[in-house]
Amino acid sequence: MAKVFYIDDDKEQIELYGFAFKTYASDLEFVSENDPQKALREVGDIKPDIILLDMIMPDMSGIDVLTTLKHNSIAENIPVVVFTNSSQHNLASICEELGAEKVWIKSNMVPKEVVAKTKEVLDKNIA
Amino acid sequence: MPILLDKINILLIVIAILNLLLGSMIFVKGSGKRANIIYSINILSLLGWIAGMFLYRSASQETGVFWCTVLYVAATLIPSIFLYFTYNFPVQEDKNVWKKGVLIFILNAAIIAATVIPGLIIKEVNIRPGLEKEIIFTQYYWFYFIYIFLLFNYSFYRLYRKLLTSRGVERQQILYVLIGVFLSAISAFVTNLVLPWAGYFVVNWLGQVSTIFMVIFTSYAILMYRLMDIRIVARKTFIYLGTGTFVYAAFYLIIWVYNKSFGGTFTNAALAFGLIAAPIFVLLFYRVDKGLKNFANKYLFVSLYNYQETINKLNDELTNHIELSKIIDLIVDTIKSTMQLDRAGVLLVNTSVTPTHYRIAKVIGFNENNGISLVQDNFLTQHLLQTQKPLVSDELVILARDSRNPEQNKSFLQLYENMKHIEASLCLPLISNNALIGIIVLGSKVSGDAYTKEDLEILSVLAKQAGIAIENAKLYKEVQDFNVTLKQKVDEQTKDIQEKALRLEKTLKVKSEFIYLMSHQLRTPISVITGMTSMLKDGDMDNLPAEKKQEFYEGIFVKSKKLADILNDFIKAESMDGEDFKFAPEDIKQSKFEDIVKTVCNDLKSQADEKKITLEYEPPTSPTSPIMTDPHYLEQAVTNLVDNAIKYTQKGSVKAKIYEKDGEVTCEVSDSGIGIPEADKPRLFDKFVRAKNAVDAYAYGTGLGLFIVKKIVEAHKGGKVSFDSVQNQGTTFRISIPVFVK
Repeated sequence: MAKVFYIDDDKEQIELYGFAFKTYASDLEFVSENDPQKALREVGDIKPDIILLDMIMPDMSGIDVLTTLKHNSIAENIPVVVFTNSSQHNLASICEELGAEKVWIKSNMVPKEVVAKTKEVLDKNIA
Repeated sequence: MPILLDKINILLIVIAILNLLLGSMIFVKGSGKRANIIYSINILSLLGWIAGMFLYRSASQETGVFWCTVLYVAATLIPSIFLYFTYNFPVQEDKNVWKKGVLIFILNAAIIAATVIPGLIIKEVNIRPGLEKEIIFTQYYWFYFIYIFLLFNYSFYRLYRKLLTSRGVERQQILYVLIGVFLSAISAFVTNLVLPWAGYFVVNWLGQVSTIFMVIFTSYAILMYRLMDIRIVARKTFIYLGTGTFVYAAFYLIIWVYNKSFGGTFTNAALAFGLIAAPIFVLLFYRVDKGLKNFANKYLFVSLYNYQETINKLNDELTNHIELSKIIDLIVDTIKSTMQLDRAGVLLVNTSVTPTHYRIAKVIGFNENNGISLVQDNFLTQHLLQTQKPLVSDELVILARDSRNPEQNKSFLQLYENMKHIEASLCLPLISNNALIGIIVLGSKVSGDAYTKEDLEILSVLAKQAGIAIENAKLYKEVQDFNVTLKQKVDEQTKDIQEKALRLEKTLKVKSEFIYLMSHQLRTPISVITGMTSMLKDGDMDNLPAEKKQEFYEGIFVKSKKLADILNDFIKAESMDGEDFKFAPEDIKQSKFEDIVKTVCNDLKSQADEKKITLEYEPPTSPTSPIMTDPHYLEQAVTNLVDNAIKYTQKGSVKAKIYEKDGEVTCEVSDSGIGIPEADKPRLFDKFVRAKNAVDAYAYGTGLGLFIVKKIVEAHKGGKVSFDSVQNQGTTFRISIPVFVK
């Protein structure tokens, strides 16, 4: 069963998207972490098939997390989708340069779409 | 009676022609002045005397006495007219001068009568072949002799006295007339009066020839010193006469060579020689013409400088400069050195004051204390503008004398005194567009000579050039000044535009910061609200247990409230924007700061507990003095500080304390949080500004909290807000409000 690893400091959102994945994709396993540093330590054990990564987090920004992931031999091949409400200029191109698969703006998608699109990315990468 | 044409008589013809030329020139060009007319009449008498000699020498035994009488009668007229001339030169001495004339000519008539009466003075004339005629005088000859002698000497004495009292040009004029006539008279006296008395007649024609001295000196004085106010183009006259003489001489030389060497003009040899002589003549003619012109340029004009060269040189140099000071330097230096003057200066018009002034632009040698430094618009300037000619101070006396208007007469004399006072000998007008733009003021020549006619001509030309150059320079300066002002204006406006651009840039930056922040701040609650409601709407939450559903509803509510808070902050900040946010007077109350802080700490206690950090309120050791404030707003400010402290502190504590010191009540909020990076400190209180680490630590900040704090604190008179912060160690904010004094 494919594993989705969601990293976000906001517990309400973890709750929301966790519920969404449970509801719309019973074939996917949803794992989350609200502390980005902890998430980096755990990623080797979890071995996710896809990572949904928030950008604005205390202690460590999404950009740093993404960079670390892409420089880690265990994690470098895991597709990372940047999943944020940041409206930073050039964010998409910066993240794609760093190796992000996609950049999604949270407020532009309802949870159902998020799940569906995550599946698309998974399908593409497994194929 | 056959006319004798020997060499002497031909010479007499030449002399007569020269006298005639001079006399008619003085008569025609002498502008009807009394002295000029008398002088030309005197030359007429000379002509009569020369003609008398010519005819006497041609006379036969029968006509000898007659022509001798004519000759001697004509001779008496010369000293008479000359003496009368001295009463009219340089100016008519008085109105009744004619009476002296009458007296002189009564005396003259007596001597003429004595001469005419046969045998009274001239006894007989004997023809001596191969020799000059012999005249036998009676014993009364000395009457005649004395008459001529006394009149001439009295004339010379009169002129000499005038010479001693005159100055400048006039002095030169008198000097040259005196020398010319004296030389002519003295030689004529010897050859034509003394020697014949002794029976020696060989050179009794030489007196007529010696009139050439008078002709030469008079011409020279006319040329150089405007004698009798005559202006002639001497250079041209000299060249015409010179080339004429050359052609005449060449013609006779060739005729002489033909006759002497070839025995005739039309012999074959002569014709062949002509082929060689003609081109030589042509070549020589051009050479002579050129040589004469050079000679005339060099010696007939003032010898110290070359007229054309000086003008050309100054012109060249003037066109190389456009700066006023340089041009003035050039003009003053050139004139001073070319003319060899002791003093020179330029005054320039200043029309910006009334009456118009002429101020010193440059002077050399003048004593500025004598009053040259400032000339007001006066008779001098009007005169210069009117005549547009150089004004020589010596001539002012003559001008005054000639003037019929008593007022003008007085003005001329006053001007003469003024020029004498400032030690100026000459004033030159600088004219441009028919306005007097300045005055060149010159002193005397170092040599003591007067200004010559050529000096004045060259000075006029120089002044014209100078006037144009100065006008150009002034225009250039105006343009330059205008450019400077224009540049200043442009600079000012550019600065203004730059400032505006800077403000605009700042505004745009604030705007983009606002959009960046706001979009994120708004997007997050919106994404949660839409996420949850979309699932509710689709019925995907229908099967959830009631308490779980309740949690989602709670989430939607909290995020909606957050949206409202953000908007409220935004509206509040917007209303406080601008320089003069003030509390509504009816809301200002006497309050206790400690009460406000205590309330805030109580309200936010739960929030701190939630984050597992301690929020401690430390009351003052003794009650603080009251302050005047809008308690609602001040509470908002303290809330913002404590709320920030909790938000940006992950673990540890937040402490709020209150104390009174130096007439101020201070609330201090310190935390052990993330701190503020140095780079973010300067703009921390600006609208929409959030420290870099704050953005990462807390996603929902609007960047308006501290802006609002600052606005509220500054709405108190004397209110202050400050902070100390070390990144990763903590931050302390202080709000100080002055104690209320009744």
